[in-house]
Amino acid sequence: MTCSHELGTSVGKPLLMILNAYAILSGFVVLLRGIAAVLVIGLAYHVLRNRRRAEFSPSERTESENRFYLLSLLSTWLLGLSLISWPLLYLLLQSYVPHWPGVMCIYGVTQIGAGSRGASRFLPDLIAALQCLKPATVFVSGVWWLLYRIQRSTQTGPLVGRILRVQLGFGVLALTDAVIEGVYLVIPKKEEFLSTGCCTSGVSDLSGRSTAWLATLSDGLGPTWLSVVFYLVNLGLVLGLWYFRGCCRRRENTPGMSLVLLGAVLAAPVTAAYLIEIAAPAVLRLPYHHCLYDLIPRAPDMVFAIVLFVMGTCCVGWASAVRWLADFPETKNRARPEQDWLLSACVSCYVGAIVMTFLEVYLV
Amino acid sequence: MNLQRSRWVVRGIGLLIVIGLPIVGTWLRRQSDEGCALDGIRIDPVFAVRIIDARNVESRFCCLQCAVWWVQRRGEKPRQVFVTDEASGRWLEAESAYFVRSGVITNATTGNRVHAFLNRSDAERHASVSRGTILSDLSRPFENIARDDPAN
Repeated sequence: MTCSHELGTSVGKPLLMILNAYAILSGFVVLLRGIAAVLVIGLAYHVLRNRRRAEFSPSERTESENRFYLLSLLSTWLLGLSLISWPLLYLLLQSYVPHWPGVMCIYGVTQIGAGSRGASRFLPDLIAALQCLKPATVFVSGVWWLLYRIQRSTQTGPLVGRILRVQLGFGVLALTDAVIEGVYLVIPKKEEFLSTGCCTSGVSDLSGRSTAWLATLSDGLGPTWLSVVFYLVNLGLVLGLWYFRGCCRRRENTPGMSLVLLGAVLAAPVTAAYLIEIAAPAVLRLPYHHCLYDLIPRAPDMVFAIVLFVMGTCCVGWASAVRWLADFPETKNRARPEQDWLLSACVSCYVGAIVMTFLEVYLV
Repeated sequence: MNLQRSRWVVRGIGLLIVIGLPIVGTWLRRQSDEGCALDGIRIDPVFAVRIIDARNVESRFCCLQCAVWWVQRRGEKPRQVFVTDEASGRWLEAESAYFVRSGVITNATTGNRVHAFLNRSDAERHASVSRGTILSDLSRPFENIARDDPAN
């Protein structure tokens, strides 16, 4: 992130670890997640290792099954905590805003520590890592939960090995996320100089955002073609998903899941660019303010539309994971209804998000 | 039958949320006070700046720095620029104002240190108290941006 000016704002009292209600709540959730993640990793590894043994006595089998159910219970607990920790991170960052005089939104908080020499120089990278890890953790936990749902209705449990590997990955992601968040909370945030408190500060588009070049193609509110591409791509995706779901209901092995997933993945950057370059400035009624963070306090209804986009993309990913990971003869038929409702959820989420975004941008 | 009915109820609630939320949200945002046209923060009347652009549209800013950045980003000559006299709180044209760059920051986010005054005596007093300098010629805000003369 490059911003041209340095305020040189001296913060009078050194701010060590910021302790407010959200920081304490986040710390507590981090602790619980850390414990749950360690237990999930340990148990998943143990059960996976035991499964490789050729012979089991009846008591060992019962013990292994009990461990698997305990692991599932712990994973459910971890899933809930991971879900809570995602919005909690943004509430925590929003609660930090008043602690620096030059910070006007979460963007400013994410810049605290940039360019410093102490431990606080890691703060911006830690926040960036957290913002990537949280959705990844929720996605993997969703894959585990869906596989576990299918597994429960089987007789021989063919998915156990895959479920355990997914649980192991989920545990590792959740533990990494919890450790990083814990470190972020603990690092003293006593920077004396703040490089920038707002992404709009500066003469030109200096927020360093990767889509800034799009703004240079037009007068502030982004190029018209971006709006056209956004609606075409997303409506095309909805139609594609609708058609694919219909085909899946009629035929057992409908090809094209990879194509649908590719479509959803490719639509994500287009949607992100549209939201940053056109939707956020329009909704905030600030043509040069391309800040999604500002939507949290000023336009929470638009945040709901973004959540729907994220959920839509996740549902496509989950439907693909269910199809590819539950491909045993015993689970295939059980996976189909799961895939069907996930595809229906994708369509509903995308349609809802498109309608909301359209109304938010054009009602202004 | 009941399942089918509950599905329609869920769909109806979903539709209500998807359509109702943006309408209510937009309406609520329209009711709230207008902030700075650049970054949206609350405008302190003592440091407010008003710009009337070539299309006669008025925009308000929280400080001089925001107004200057806004004009430079638009790359368009404003028709009129009004600043607030910090001594009296009254509007005056930027052309007739005295500007002082001092150690006093009016807006911590933008780091604006430029202050506007109607009278030279007020500007000199502020400059001496806060170790500032009175800006002249090209160092004055908006000075390098040629404005349209409304009379022409």
